[in-house]
Amino acid sequence: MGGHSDIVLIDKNGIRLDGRKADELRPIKIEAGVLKRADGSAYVVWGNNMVLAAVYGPREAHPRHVQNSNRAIVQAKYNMAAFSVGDRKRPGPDRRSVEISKIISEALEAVTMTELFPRATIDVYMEVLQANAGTRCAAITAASVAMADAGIPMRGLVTGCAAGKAGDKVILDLGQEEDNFGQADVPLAIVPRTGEVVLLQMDGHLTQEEFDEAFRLATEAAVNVVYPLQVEALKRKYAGSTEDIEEGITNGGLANSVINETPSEVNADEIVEELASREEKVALEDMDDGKQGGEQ
Amino acid sequence: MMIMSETEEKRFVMPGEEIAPLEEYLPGDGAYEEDGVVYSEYAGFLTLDTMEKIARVEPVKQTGALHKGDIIYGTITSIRSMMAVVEALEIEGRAREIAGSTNGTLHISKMSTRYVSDVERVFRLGDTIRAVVVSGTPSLQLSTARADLGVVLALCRKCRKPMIKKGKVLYCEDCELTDSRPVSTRYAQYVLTVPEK
Amino acid sequence: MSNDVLSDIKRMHIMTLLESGKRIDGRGFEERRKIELMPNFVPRAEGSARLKLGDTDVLAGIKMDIGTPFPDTPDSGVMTTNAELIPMASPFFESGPPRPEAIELSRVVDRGIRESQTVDMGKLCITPGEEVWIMFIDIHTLDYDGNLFDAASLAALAALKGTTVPAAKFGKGEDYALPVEHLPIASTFVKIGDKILLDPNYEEQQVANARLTITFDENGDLRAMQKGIGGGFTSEEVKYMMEVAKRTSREVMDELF
Repeated sequence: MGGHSDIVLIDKNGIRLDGRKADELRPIKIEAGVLKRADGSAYVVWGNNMVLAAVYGPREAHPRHVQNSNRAIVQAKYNMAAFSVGDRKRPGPDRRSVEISKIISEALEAVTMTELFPRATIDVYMEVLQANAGTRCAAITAASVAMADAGIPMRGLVTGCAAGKAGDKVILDLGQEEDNFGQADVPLAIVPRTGEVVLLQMDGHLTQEEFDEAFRLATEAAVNVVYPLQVEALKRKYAGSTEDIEEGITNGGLANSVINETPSEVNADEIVEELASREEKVALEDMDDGKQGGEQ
Repeated sequence: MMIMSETEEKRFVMPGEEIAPLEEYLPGDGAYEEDGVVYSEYAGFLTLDTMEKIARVEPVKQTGALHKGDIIYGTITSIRSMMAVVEALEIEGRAREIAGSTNGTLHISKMSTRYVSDVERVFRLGDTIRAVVVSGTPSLQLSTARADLGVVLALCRKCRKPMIKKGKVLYCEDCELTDSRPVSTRYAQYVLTVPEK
Repeated sequence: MSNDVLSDIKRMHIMTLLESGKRIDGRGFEERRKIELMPNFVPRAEGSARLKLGDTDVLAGIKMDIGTPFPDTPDSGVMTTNAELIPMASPFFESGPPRPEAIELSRVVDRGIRESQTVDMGKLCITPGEEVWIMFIDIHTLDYDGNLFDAASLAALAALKGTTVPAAKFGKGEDYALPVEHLPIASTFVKIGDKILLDPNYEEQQVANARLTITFDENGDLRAMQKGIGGGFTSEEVKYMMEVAKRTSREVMDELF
């Protein structure tokens, strides 16, 4: 955030470096139940971010002093693979990943029925295999699918999405350059059923009006696009789903959603259709242009 | 689980998904109520019991919470006059770590189909046992009063190697020691539970 | 789901099956699990490969940087190998500094590649005594179903084979493919009772008395070995494993590379 560069992040037609419009998400793919050993798991490809999440538990919490005699604790760990970023990252937790782990733990705990498992821990491991701005939103999105896949009782899924400001415009889902050279980033996570915001951070510089717009973009995209993909991933895994995404939205209990002012311009069907073709292209572009990666 | 007619299909629901108004259905297993509405706790399959008016959701996977009827493998960690303390280690047929306390009690009245006068005549420290869960909450209560339950592996008193069953007695091949006590009909058998994706 | 207390009864169960010629997953004693290779899985790394050996799932990534050579090898690049047994992969892996198991794995993978001179390190020298390429091999264990040695060694080799030296990015001329000249293939065996099994899965590895990893190159020459776990092998058993490793590593080579 706040880096200086002559790079033009948004052209005169309002098109961003990677060809997106201001309110457009990167292509997202979600898969549930991808690991054998873990109790629950999910894999999220979000643009060029690749995040794997695994859940173990509820299981007895060790050491004993971390146990809560009335409820389970949720311990999420966000970790980046050494090769996930431009310059090799030293393995192991740094201050940034410890902070992200903490806020994701708290966000997931907010929806988990922890009271059913006194003294237990629910461990959530998120591994960033490739980073390209927005890993924490991809990670919490994956984590919540992995928890559902593990059969953990919850009051709702948690869905992450970010918006921010770059090239003097409020935009949805910042890419790497927009993150590096933009003006603000607002990553958040929401419980689509209740509209509760369970994770919210902001850095950079925004007017209050710009924040409102960024918040609207991010929550709408989370509820209308990302959440249905989470639902669809679980359905594909367990219900042999052939239902379309719209059906997923209705079944997902979105009637109670807080988001009802302006309909989103982001269309779920379009995104899904584009996925297959764009994914390949993005991977190729990524190899060719030698972009330097990674939010550090 | 309910038996469904062929036309009725179980709906796949999400955690927090609205199932029914409270006036129509009460929340059963896997469902909860909030402000007069019944919601699902799980990603799972919904059954609406139209007779009893109960909504239940069966999760995509069972957690490691122990319920009545679950079979566990465990080890005897302490012997008292009226009971044995068991550390539950695995759930048979479910590749999940046990959720919550693994410390179970096995009361003398639930050790055998026959009368047990002395706990030590049935169990010894370090025995591996197969037991059924009598209750999972608030504390874990176990029973081995069934032919296929009880000791499935005993260690030799002297060398701590597993003993084999020879006729009606346990026998250590190395020390040539015998031990005569009741064991499970499944002695030295084990059901390996391999996780599935 | 493991536990030392239950390992006796698990071993008896697995041994009873082995006596009747069966492994718990139905494989033959000299049969490897299916290998699934996804080359260049992480496009942002200089090289990468995700490899599944049955349900064991590892991701190897290569990063290149420029640094100074070791004083005793001034005209040779530097390679370092690191394996992470992350808690995602098994309920018994913990976060924190690498434990002996992870360090042993790193070193076994490293030895196979280093001793076979898989990569011509001389070609990674930029200015003798001053500047050389540092090659980081990082192995991320995603899902553990036994035999990480073979899975991680294969993933690392596959990653190296697809690695580009990013010379242009560092202003050192044009990018070029990493010179990979040999194909060391590791084969790991365990002994349970008196039975020897190739490519042990999780349950087999848990109850094994002894383990041996043998690395052959494409010429059928030995490049590295590692014995592990408390028990021992007879010299006949070692000979037998050599023979099986030599034959099956050739099959793996033909299949993957």
